[in-house]
Amino acid sequence: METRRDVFQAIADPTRRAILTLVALGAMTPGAIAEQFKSSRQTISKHIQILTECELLKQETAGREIYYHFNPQKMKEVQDWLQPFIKMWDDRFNKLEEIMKPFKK
Amino acid sequence: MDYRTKITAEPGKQELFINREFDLPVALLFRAHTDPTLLAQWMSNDYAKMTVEKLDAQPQGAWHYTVKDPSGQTFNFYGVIHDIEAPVRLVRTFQMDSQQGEPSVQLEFHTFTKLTDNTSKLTTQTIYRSNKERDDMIRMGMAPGANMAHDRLQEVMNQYK
Repeated sequence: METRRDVFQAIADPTRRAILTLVALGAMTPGAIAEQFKSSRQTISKHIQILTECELLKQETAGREIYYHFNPQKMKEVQDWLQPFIKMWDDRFNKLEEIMKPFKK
Repeated sequence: MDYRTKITAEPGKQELFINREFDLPVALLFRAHTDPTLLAQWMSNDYAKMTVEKLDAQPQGAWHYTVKDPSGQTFNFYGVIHDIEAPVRLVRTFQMDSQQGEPSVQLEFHTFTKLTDNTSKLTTQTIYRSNKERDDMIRMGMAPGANMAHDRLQEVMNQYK
């Protein structure tokens, strides 16, 4: 498996998805994020690094603390990729339903 | 915009799932998939006209559709039906002529479920040869012309990448 640094790879991991869910609620320090998980701090730190590289998280420094913010714009990329495909099937299925309605007893 | 169709394509995987509930009895939902006239109707859209050339709806039966896009270009889709049981199951292969290189082949498991006398559910699992092939097929929309407007937009935008 090549290391892709894109949104898709970022959200492929359940721990990373959980981190995103947390940070989406409000900016957090790496320590506060790590406290929420059973995994080692090192593991969580690696996940945070990947999420940052994929631009799903943004770093901000406040005094001596680093805070991570969620970047919703990036998440939209996943949605954008699937959207036309979903729309195509939804249109087809709506049409199927329409066509079959007259056959209902 | 809320769609009634749910599509799950997990990153890095070679499969995708399509789920949809219908206000139709399960028998009618199944029939829409096996009756050539009806199938051609709902699979066609403003951009692409689908014609069923062959649909032998039985185990080891072959199927073949052609799709004509607005420019008049024709694309071939074909495969074999592996397992079919009305009105619960359809397992088939799906192959699309490729403009270059090997054709892409996928395996589809369609499950039809009765919810009530008047409602039903279709669950499709599609398996691709590789993750890349799956992602490319999603990008293409699997049917020429289906997302023509979108493809044009993509082309235009690609110049700015």
